Amino acid sequence: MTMRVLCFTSFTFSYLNRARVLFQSLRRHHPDWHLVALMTDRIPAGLTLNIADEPFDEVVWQDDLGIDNLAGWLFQHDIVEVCTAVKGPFIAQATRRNFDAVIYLDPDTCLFNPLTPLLDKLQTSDIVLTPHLLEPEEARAAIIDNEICPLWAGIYNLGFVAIRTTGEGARFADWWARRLLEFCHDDRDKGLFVDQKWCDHVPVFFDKVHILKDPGYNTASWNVSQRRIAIDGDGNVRANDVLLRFWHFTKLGPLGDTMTRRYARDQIVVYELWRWYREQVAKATSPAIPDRYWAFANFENGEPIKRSHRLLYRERKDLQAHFANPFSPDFAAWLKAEGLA
Amino acid sequence: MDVAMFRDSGAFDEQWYVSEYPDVARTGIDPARHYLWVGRRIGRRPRGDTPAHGTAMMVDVPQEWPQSADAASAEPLPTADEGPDLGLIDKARRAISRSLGGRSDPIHDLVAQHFDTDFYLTAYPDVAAAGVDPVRHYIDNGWREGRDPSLSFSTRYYVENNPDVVAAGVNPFYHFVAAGRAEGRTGKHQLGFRWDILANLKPVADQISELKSHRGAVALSSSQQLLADLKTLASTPGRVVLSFSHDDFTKHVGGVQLLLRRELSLFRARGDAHVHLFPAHSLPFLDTSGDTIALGVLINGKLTGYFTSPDIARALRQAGFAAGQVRFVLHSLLGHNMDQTIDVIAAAGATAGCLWLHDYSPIYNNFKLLRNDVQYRGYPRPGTIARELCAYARASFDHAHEFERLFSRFRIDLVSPSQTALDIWQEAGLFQPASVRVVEHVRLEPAVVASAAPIHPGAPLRVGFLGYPAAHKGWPVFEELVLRFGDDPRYEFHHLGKGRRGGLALTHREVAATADKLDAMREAVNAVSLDVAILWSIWPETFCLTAYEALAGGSAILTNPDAGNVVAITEKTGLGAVLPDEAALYAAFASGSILTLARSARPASQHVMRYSALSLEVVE
Repeated sequence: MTMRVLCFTSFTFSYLNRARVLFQSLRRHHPDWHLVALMTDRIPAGLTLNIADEPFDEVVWQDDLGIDNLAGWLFQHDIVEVCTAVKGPFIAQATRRNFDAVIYLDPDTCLFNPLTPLLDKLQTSDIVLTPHLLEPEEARAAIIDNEICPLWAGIYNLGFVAIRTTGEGARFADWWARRLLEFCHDDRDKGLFVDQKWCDHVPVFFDKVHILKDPGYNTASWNVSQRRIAIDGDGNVRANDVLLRFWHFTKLGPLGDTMTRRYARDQIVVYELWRWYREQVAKATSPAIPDRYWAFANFENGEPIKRSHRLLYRERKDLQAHFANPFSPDFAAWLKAEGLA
Repeated sequence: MDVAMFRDSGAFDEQWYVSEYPDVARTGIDPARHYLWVGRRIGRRPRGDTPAHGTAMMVDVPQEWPQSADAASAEPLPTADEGPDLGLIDKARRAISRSLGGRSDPIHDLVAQHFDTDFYLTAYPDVAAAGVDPVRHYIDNGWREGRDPSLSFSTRYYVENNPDVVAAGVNPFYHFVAAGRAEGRTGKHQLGFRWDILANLKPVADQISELKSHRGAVALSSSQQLLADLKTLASTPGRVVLSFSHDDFTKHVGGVQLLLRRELSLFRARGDAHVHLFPAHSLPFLDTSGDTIALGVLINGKLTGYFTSPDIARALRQAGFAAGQVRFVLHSLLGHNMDQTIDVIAAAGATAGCLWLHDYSPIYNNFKLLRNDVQYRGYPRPGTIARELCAYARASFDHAHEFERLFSRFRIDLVSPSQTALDIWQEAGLFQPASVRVVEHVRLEPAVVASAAPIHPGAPLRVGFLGYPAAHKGWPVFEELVLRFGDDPRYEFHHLGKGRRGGLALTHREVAATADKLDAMREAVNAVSLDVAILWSIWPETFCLTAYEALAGGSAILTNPDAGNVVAITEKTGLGAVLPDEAALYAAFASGSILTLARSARPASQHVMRYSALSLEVVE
């Protein structure tokens, strides 16, 4: 029986180009999947968003998630926190729709081969996660970058998660949603790293969890040192001799390039994939979207919101009570009066 | 001033120097200047009667001769016409003293200590031609232009990976040798030569517009003379061969060009007339722009002039060739426009001919069949990731679609110089030629060949690169071998061919085949008793004459599985080895297992080359 799949990614308009590239690859390999763009943003002036012209089927906005005190909740998060936080309420919502499975992919991932073996896995498992790293590193620098980093940021990379909409999958979705609504923070001192660190609990809290150790999934700079990336005789791309399913093009830009060079070394196909991806993203870029645009980056009066403002508001219940809409000029004025602007 | 002074000092014998080191003349650098910049640094002698390494002492100047720029900037260089000046040595001493004293430039001095002048001048012939001090050039301009001061330092890499150095406005190489290296920074990436190729690869449209931007105007000739010449051919009994290639084979020297010269003489000997068309401006693609193409016309090997393609078609039509009188031979259509080519062939009344598979341009936009110029993994089929990733496949045109029109219009016999290339053609399965045929340019036949040089067991293994140092021919792999094993007493490295590259511990010997001396490379291989030729082509060679020359010269071959016909000929003769990849090559040199390929350790190669009749074997 064909599985009814909803696949979504979460992003703001500055990542629309990347999301388009992901959705195009999903359309190509899984034309029957229902593709959802989960957006935490407002349409920039000058941009017309016409779903019929986009490679996805539906947009779900932050307003559609039934979040209490939405403005205050949004304000408590920076862009990374909020885009990961909304994954929880949406995945829970999606389990209650008419689908058999829900798959999340980060907007900067891209499929190169169909995820059919994953669907097969979801016949017997309810939750599928991909670890950052599949085997121990040897070099000291690699241990620091690739082994130690997941110790605080989370063992599993939440650029991908797949669940059944019933059973343990549904139970996971509800738990994750509740945690992310309250604790999706980048706060290393408190042991939190957005939506990702939470999932270290998953293999214990839930049954029917499959830890996918297939090197063809979620290949990225942090694990490419352990994966041999090559073009095979059929013109397909392989990671350690299995088909590459999807690549995680994390940190498009100089930092991503540095990490890729550090760990891909002389694997030329990796650089060819990146080159191709960069071109695709450039082609998918709408010039009408201002650089680094995010509707919730500023107060309503246009002044930029600092992370310290968000943290203060997050900590102080009195401020939350007084400024129900912290984006308002009132809160900006208060911060200024307190010498915190 | 120091160069002129040195030239005239009696310590330098220009005539002897140029004759002893023939590469000097080819650099275009004044010999005395060459000695001061390059020669003395690499242990060359300034005159025949001086011991090596002792030159500077001979003229009683400080051993470290000052860099010319400082002195030169103080006083202009005399012209060549100026006579010797007896006071020059004293003046030079004062200039040296000034440059080493108060006017000392610490950046220049430190950079000069680590700078590889020989590398710089051969890598950047424009600098050599300009006759400027290379160290000064690098400091003033070169580094900003992304040039490298030596093989072990990449300016571009250092700049990209050390933004603090850029921000500080410090010369990157100076920073590296003065501080960066000690701080643990690296001077060069370890990402392999393919990374460099990819980093420099431009989209096809940009490549084409850049090439076209350098074109000058073509002086077109009157088509009256062309018409008259063609009419003469049409009225003379005998066949006419209408031949196409990518350049003027009478002017350019290369494998295919030499074959074309041979083919011309064979056709002429048979009594056939020969009309050859080549684009006035070369291009490594078909020209699909729709612009009218200017073509050079060679009639029986003589240039008649340059004409537009439509003018040539008109003249051919008016010349009135008899049906079946003209057959076409397509060696290459790179730089040609397909529709205009079809018009020209049709205007001559030709309906049949042959297409040579010298390269893969009929089936793919990259004529070497390389993905992004970096790798061959079979014909990149439409719909595959390999094709999707390739910048060549993402061009706005498709060579295969262009050739489809040619195949649907004419009866075409496909001629492949090797079974390997034919196999690839058939794997692509794009067109149905009227016939297919393998015609090797050269065949190796067994023969008793006397070895030119005595074989010394235990002598270093002589390892060579043959031909022009191009990346797709595997030069970077050879270069890496020399860098790793250049000081290993088990090996001795040779470069036989044009385009000497400096900065490497090898012996270069200029070798260029000419129409009169087709087997210059075979002779050179034989003369240096080369044990192993590194023919590490990264593209599937359709033939590779060099491989045959290496074998006929007595050398074995080391190659990789992607090298096309080089693999086939190596396996067929059993003379050499096909190693899985570069890591295996370096490992074989490190372990010494490669020493079994020494001439002294194997039976002498006993082959002679027999040249084929080329297109005449197909065109009746």
